[in-house]
Amino acid sequence: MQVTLKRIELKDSPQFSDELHGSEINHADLNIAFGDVDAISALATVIKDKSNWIASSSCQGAMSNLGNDMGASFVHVMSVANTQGAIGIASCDIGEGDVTEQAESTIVSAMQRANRLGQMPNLVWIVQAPGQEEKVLKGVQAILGNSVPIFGGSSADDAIEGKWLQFDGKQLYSNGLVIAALYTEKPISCYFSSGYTFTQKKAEVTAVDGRVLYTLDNKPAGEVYNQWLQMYGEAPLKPGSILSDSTYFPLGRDMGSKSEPIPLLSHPSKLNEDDSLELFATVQKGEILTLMHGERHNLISRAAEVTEVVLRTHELNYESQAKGLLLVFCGGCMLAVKDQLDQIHRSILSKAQGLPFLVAFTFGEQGCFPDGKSRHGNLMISATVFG
Amino acid sequence: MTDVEKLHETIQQLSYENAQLSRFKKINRLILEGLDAILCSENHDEVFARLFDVVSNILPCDQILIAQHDGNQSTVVPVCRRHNKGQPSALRYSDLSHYFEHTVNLSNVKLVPDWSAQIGRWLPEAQSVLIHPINTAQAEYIWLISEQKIGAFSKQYEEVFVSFSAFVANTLSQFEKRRLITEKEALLEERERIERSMVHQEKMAALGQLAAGVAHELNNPLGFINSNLSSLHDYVSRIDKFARTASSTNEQLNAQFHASDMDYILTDTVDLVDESLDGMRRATDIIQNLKAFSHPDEKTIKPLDFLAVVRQALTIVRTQAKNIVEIKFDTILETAMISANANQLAQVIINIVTNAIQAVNHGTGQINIDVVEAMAHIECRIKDNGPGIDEQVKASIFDPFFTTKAVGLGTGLGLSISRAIIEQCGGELQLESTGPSGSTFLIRLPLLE
Repeated sequence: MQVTLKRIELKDSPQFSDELHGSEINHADLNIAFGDVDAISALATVIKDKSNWIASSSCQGAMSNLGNDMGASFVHVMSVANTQGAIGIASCDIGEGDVTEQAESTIVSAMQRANRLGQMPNLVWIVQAPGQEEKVLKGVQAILGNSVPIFGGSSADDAIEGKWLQFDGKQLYSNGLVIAALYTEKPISCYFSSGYTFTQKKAEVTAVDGRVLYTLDNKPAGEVYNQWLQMYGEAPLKPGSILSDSTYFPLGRDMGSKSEPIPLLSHPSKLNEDDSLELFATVQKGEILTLMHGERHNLISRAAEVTEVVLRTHELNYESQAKGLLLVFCGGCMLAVKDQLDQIHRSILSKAQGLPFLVAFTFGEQGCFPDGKSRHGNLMISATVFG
Repeated sequence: MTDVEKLHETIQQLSYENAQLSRFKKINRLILEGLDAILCSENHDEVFARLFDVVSNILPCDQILIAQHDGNQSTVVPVCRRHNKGQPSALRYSDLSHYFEHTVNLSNVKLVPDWSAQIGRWLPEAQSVLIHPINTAQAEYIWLISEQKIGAFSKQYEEVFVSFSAFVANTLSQFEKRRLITEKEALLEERERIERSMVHQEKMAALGQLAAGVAHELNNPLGFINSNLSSLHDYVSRIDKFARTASSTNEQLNAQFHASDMDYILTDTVDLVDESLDGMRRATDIIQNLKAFSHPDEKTIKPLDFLAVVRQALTIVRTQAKNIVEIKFDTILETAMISANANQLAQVIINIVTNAIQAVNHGTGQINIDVVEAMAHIECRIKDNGPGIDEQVKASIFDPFFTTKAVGLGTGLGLSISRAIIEQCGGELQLESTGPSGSTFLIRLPLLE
């Protein structure tokens, strides 16, 4: 397996096109691409009728071993070649209809295109518009079961304006789902993690509609949340976007055990006038939500630590040198530590030790915990190692 | 709070690493228990049955099946199953080779075209199936394990299973190779033994023919020499009598009688003739033995009680064994009817017991004769407490003319004639054991129905 990375700037259109048609990209089994909305949009104008692309917009650009965008438009392309296996990519628009059924038929199409219908992939890599991730996962798991590793991220734009994009090499979506089923001879290792600590503040979901949380313990969710924040010395939030203010105090559900708690995080994005809270993940009535707390310096160091863990485990497990690393980093977290992106970039470079890597900043992360089941969460980080 | 968050993350990381590395624990357990299963088993069916237990204890699954590829028929057919569900019918290999040549982890068999008409016949309830080939030195097998739920076998499960399967294939191959080598060595040894036996048989046959020819050719001259010597013995007596009478009645003849030392000559002539006649008898005995060796008398074979023959033979040898050796005859049988020539059979018993008497120490010697019935045969063991037979001697004791006795004291035909007699009756005579505590000869003869 070979993994190469290109970082192509948008401003020079002829060169942008030439580089995207370079032999490494053309002959790759799979091209995974991230960039800001403009970059992905431009990518879709250059790449026509290809079946080896899975691309998504990333919040305020992406990051790779070749650089950190810092406001400029680049497309970062990770090209995976010589997999000695098969990779199938399929896509659909999830704007209308039953999303779960659409996800089912899309993963079946991806398997068909890999000529591995019915077979368990090494990895299902997924990009999608934010909003219906749980239904998408449910659809994939209905076809492949709960033990299939599903990793990926929800597309993002720069300011949560719904401008996010997905691209499959043929079609550009704004509310799409692109799935890649990877069947490779070489191993793939994945790690899905969150930081944050459970506080003592918890409540039961008593009224919820999709991602709008109305009441906790039969009290207005916004009121409960603000009370909790004040107990930790934070000012109460006012109606409107609370994405950046809630980054260090998300809501968590425990997916682990009493001895080994594993938090699955939901990021409150908006406080409504009716004291309801909008989240970036769906919670169910009856679930217990706990106020979580994280520290800024841990957000900054997390990407490098995750890189170290996944690379070490991969090499121990398979006695095989990693060939490439793909990180999905919560866009909300990135915005909270944006001034430290250079330091984050340097720390990942240090841990990756020359390995090509690509970091996407997303509005929702998908991955699987040690119990093997894949889930959707916010403020998470995932790492995928090829080779 | 900061330290707690970091600690919490570290615990998550360790849990992840532990989960990832737990595969090695499972592989170790599988290999240890799998090796035990293979070592405890006598054949492939038993190996597979035991391996099924090992696998299902460590890697949960509903069903396990092993199929074998028959290259000649180009089919693949189940040879061992954990559960008796489904039809174990043969499938055409060429239609399914893409499933059987590599690891295939089917997470949803409903999506697989023609599944229920093909492999689904073996595993009708399966939703997930993990398929992996096991090629040993002598055969191509395919493992199939299944579950009744979709996506049951994770990649880690698959990796552990594949590692274990590789171990099973290698170990079975090693055992098969070792068994082949052992079988080859045994076959070579058997071939050498048969070749040696054939050479020996040919030598014996040639010797038998030679003996028969020599016996026949010598029989006539020995007959007239014997006849002439007998006549000469008579003539010499009469000449002796005449010469002595004549000399006693005539002085001149008497003087010549003494001058010619006729007294000595006549006496010595009688002795010479007597010795010649004695040598003649020995030569006749040898000729008779040679004839018996080459052509044991088949015509006089008839049903008889082997025990009666033994008792009769022992009455003869006991006079020889008196005060030298104690002879015990023991059997729980009342009769043991066989087909043989009674005199020849008695000769065999006498030969072996006589040899035993000569082998043991006088005074402390003991010979035990035991007769039992075994698998439609009688087995008669004649055991002495002598010093045993040397290795070099052991190889030749049944060869004709081989003897350890001084020249003139044995013809070296006793055991060879005995073996010829026993084999003539469809039995066998062998030295069953020999060592410092004694030797045992075994006579084995078929019982009459």
